[in-house]
Amino acid sequence: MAETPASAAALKTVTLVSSDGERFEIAESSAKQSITIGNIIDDGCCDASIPVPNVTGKVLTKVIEYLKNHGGGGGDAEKKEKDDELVSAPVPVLLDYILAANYLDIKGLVDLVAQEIADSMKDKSPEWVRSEFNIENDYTPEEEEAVKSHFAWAF
Amino acid sequence: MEPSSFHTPPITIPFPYPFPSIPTSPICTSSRPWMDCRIWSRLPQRLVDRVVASLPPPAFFRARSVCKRWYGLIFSTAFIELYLQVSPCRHWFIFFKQQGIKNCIYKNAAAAASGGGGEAFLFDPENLRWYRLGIPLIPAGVSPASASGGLVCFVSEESGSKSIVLCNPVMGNLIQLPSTLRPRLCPSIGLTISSSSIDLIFAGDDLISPYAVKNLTSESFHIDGGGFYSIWGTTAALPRLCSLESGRMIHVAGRFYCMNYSPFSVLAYDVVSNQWSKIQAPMRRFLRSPSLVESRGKAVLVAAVEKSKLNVPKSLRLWALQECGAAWVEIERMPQQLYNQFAEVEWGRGFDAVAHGDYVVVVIKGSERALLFDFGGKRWSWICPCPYGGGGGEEELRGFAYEPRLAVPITGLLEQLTLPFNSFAA
Repeated sequence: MAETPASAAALKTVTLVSSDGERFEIAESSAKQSITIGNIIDDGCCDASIPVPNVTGKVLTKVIEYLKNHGGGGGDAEKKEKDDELVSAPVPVLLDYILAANYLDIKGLVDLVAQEIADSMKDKSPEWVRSEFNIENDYTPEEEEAVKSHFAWAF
Repeated sequence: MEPSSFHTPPITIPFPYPFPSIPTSPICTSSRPWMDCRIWSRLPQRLVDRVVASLPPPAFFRARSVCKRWYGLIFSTAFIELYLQVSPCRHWFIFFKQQGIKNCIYKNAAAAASGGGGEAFLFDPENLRWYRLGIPLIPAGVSPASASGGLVCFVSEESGSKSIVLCNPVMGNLIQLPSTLRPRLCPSIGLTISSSSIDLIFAGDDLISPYAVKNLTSESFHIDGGGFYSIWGTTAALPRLCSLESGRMIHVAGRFYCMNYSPFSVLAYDVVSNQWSKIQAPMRRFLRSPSLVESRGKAVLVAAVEKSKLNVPKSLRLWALQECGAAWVEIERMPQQLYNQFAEVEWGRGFDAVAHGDYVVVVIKGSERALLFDFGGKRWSWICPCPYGGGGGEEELRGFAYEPRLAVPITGLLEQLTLPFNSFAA
């Protein structure tokens, strides 16, 4: 057993359990890209499996794919290809990803999905944004006209 | 003109603004079955802000008309900090309609407002789109001279000590700088803004008498977050017999560069050592219409090459200055067939080049045509002309590399300068 402490740590895995009971094994070093998971591991709970109650198995699968893709090694082009595939999901699914990434505190995944959502809405009108984000229009018609004419260049 | 560093919003915003409560019935129709609007309302405010911070500039400004909370995001320090961290770099360009530089000598006699009346044209090279931007607060009698870090530097045209205003075009706010000390006519001007410092340099066209100019000196302005500043007190002698012709300056890795004419060479100013030096230009006897641009961390010379005595076809080439600071390497040449088309439009009138990120824009003088080169795809293409005019006849389009930014925190340092400012002469 000539394992150095470093290689022993690299081989260490953790098990994550989704809200619907699916179990996923992942290298500890990759899992630590999630600050939330990293804190749980550092607090010494890595023997038992780690429950992730807010995230379903379907979404957690993709999150784990992201963590493995960015866990180290592999070319940039390859990583980008896998990222592009991940964000090609329909928008309701993207929302699930960003909520999971937010809960698990994975900055890279939050950034990736936020940019994709922004790109999907960048050509849409304010009326569309209001209806999709369920936002009440609290401008009076005059105020709204004033704001729109102030930024006329953007319309 | 009152120095104003913040533009007053046109409406009052109720602060603090509560996040709207989720209505029980969805507002959207079922015509888009894949988009259930109730899902969006699950996003916490922080994530909604995170998405808004990633919107490109036109979409962001449209988003400000969605609701008052979104309007007010730019006034929130937390949002601006988030924005500065996550917003990707956008390699755009900003153009202004301008009369030729030589007219600036005669402009002093005319009291008319110049500089296009506070109007700018943004160009997005990735989506090939033009936008017309009004900048109403720009005072009369100034011209755009340089741009960096999201700000455009406007300088007074009148000869003498120069008044300077930094403007954030998309936000519309202005901040005035202390005026230069030495009287000049049409100096070459360079600006560079980083996250921790602001540097400005004015070079040449020293007025040695009310009617005579000579390229003698440069003076620089520096302010940084470390507390070091120099308010035009740093001066340096220009190399002998140089001819700057009010050309643009670029900044690369701690040095400003500008073209020197008759014969062509490149002048370099090292900011730290406050020294000027001369760099030989490549193929200097055969260059026509050279421009210096900053591209991907290097100083690049863009020029037409014409060897009339030899049987070499005319071409348009780009050379990059190497690390040693003296040698140039050709990095790109316009394909011959395209050059023939280009020459037919250009007719020897000359052209102006400007670069940002992977993109180089070549604007043909006296024409509304322009070319775009993309280093990423190694592709040349004609750009659709600016739909708001400019480029034909008297009004040339003068462009700068420009990155739209909602906020430029380093300008906070300028507000601490308490020197008396010269007012603008109308």
